[in-house]
Amino acid sequence: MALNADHIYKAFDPSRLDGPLQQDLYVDLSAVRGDIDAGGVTTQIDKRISTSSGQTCQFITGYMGSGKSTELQRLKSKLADSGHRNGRIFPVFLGMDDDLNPNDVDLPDLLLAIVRQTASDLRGQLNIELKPNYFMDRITEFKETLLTDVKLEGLTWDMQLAKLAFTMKSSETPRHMVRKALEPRVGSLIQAVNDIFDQAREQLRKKGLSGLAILVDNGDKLVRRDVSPAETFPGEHLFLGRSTELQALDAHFVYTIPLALAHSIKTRELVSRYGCDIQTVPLTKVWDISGKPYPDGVAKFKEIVEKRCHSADTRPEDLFKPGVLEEIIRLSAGQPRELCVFIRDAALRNMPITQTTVEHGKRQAQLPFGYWMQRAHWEIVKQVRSGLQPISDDQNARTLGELIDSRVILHYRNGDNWMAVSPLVGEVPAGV
Amino acid sequence: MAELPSILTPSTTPGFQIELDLLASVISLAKGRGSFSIVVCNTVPLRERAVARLRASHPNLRHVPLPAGCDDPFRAVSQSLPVTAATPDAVVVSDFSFLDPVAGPRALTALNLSREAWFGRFPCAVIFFVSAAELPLLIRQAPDFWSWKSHFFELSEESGAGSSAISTPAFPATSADELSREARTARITELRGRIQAAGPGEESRAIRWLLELRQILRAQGDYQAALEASHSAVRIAEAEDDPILLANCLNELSLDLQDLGDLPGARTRMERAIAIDEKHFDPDHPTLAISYSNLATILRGLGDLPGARTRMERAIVIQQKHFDPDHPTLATSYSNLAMILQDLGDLPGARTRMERAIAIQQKHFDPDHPTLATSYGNLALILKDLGDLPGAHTRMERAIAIDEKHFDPDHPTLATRYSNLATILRDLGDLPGARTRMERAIAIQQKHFDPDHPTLATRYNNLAFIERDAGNVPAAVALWREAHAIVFKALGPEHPYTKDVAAMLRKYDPPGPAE
Repeated sequence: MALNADHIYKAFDPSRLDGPLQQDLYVDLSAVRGDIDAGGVTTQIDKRISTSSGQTCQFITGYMGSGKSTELQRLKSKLADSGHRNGRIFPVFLGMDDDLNPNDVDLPDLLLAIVRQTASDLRGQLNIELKPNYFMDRITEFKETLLTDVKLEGLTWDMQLAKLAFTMKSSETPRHMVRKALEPRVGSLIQAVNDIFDQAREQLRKKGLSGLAILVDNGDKLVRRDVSPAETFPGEHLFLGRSTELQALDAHFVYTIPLALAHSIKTRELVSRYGCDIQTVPLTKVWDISGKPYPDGVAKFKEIVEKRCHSADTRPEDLFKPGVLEEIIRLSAGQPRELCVFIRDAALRNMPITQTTVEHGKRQAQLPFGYWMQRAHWEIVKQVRSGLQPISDDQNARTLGELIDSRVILHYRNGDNWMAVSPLVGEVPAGV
Repeated sequence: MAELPSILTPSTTPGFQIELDLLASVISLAKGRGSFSIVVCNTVPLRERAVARLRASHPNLRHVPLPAGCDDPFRAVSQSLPVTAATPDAVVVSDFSFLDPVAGPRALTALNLSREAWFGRFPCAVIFFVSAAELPLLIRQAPDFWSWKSHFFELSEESGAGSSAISTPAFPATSADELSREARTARITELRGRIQAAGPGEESRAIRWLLELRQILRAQGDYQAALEASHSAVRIAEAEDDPILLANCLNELSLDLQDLGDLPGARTRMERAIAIDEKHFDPDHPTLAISYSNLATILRGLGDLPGARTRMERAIVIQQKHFDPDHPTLATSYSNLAMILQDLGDLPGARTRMERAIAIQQKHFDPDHPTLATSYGNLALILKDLGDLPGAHTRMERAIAIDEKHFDPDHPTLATRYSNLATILRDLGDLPGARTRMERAIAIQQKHFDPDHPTLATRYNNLAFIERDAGNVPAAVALWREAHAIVFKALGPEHPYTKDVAAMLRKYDPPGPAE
């Protein structure tokens, strides 16, 4: 079958699968992610929301491209489904980087973003109009605090908040001015947010829905704050420093959180404060701890490739020379995004993709690591390659965090909980 | 698992033409849908060659070199490409300011936040040209942006597959100021080891390591060792057939010599670097503006004020062609020109330029930014010379108020400001106020300098004048004696400053009959 470069390039686009047309490309990986018994991250979180007598606050983490957003979208569909066991729950979906600056998020700005998104989603999807109550006065106050000449006339109150949020997101001074104004009244601000939630639930009940859940995506994109209070791990200030306030919010909450925080020495504290496990969207098991291929995982990854080849009017056996796809799956280390990026790049170089193309692509993928990794990073890589599992402590926490963040060290939870070096990382330089 | 080949093996670098062909394919395939490609390329001529060849196959390619100090690449590119225009074949973005201590972190943050915006705005291939020194910052400080890249390329010289990809970085791969003292020491050892072990064919890498070593040594305060590193870099670069690299190294060497007070040596190196750049760049290239500006600073130090003025004005003319009238780079240049004009005695001209610099800086920085403190302080001194003492007083107080927010109470910057304020207060006739500030300046500097440092002599001399004006001649004489002892030893009896202090002593403490 003829190979069309344009079709292949489009089919292996590694972007998120969030359009209805792209759902044909979705492959459910939960069975090979090492959480077979649990039934997947989405099921676990949904189960807790459904069985809890009160409101819940839960966390999802995982590597970039591991499918956190996809899982959160699935949770959204599941909660809103008419067949949901506790009746339909209205999910509000907030991308933390939409309204907020991931380099500097604090509670007051997060609360404003949550309120704005809730009002906007209820109006947009169910024609429910919430009364701003406390927030109407606050908007005037924020405008004066921000000294901004932004025009708010004629806008709904949540759009007014959105406009002000944009000013706060893009500039440090107004952000800090609003925080300074709100911080002493954070208790009453939480009450005001809960008042919005009360209104929402009352209206939702009238439409036959049983509750409200706020899904906050992209919390994993928080970076380590360089403003006071400083953090050792990204998200530490918000999720640990503000845990009391976050738990006082009267709705179900699910946040994605940075992997470096979830896998840090702070994990236990986080779990204990919120009383729930952190759900990791695990890497797909395509190999085991000894480096041998894991057939079920490899089969799922082949299914991804088959579906995408099909959408490009071709077949895997036409795109790949024998044995090549298996090697690419090994190099992807269980990351669907890496699989697509690698195939797209290799196809650019040569089609059908041969072993030589793969070798070349592998060397090309290794190059960036050599540019940024320093001795301390390589020392941990060497340690993991020798079979020792790294243990995070005060000395190496940051270095190990960087290796995990940048997917040099991959954390698998496939029955065993183990770490391995990405096969895309090259040889440890001489002298380390 | 079998170990993989070393990532540092130069032979892994594919040829220039192969990579360009692949980039051209990406441009064709990404049309209408978008993709990010990161291209490591260390020299401007090589980049320009690559862009010209890509443009040959894709005429509607748009190249947007970012202005110096750009802290929001997406906004800058969006503004330069009208929404109403047809979607380009590709957008090439270059000249990032990641290594700029002020704009760099902001640019990386903005880039990290903007990844989806690029796809929405430019449904085509977006190609980011970065240097090897910038890449680590991009990977570590804009991880989300980096994770969305579709392709990664290295462009090295056409000499081909065997050449090293890491050829001509002008800056270190690590920001030296970010490293702890321990990390710096470890990095210095590591770099020295690498430099020592570098073999034939690794010359350009050795230069990169030397320039990084130099930067860390400067951060450590070891300027002499930094100078040795930049000397070595120049020596190696002279044997390489890469004039732009040599010009870079000469530029760094010149700055090191300048810092160590060898202004004639600094001048020679800077003029040589400029001669090379003038051959390889257009007369209005921004690189030349930087070099002219650096040379102007050296010439000012050498007392060649007309020469300094000419170079600084030339730099400004170039920068005005590349930047918006309110760009911070221009503010810096206006400020530098103002200092030269002040030395030349053109105080109204100096005042105009400094006020223009401040007006620009006020648009870009928070009201309490340290850059503004420096400019207010400089303007205060110009106003003082112009006789506008109340204006000078206000500006100097403002500078101090800002600095006190940023620095420890004993920071040397504050000592300088207190001393300058004291001289203004003295001229205003507020002698008690002047005395308090000058004593505070001396107290701070005594913590930072040896007791026989000439800076302390200057302060003692200034305080002596305040005491004299207050009618306290014995205290003034005591201070002049201390000052004289220091400068006599440090500068010698024939130095004009020593003679000035001696003259004051003769006037107010004439030798008695017994002597």
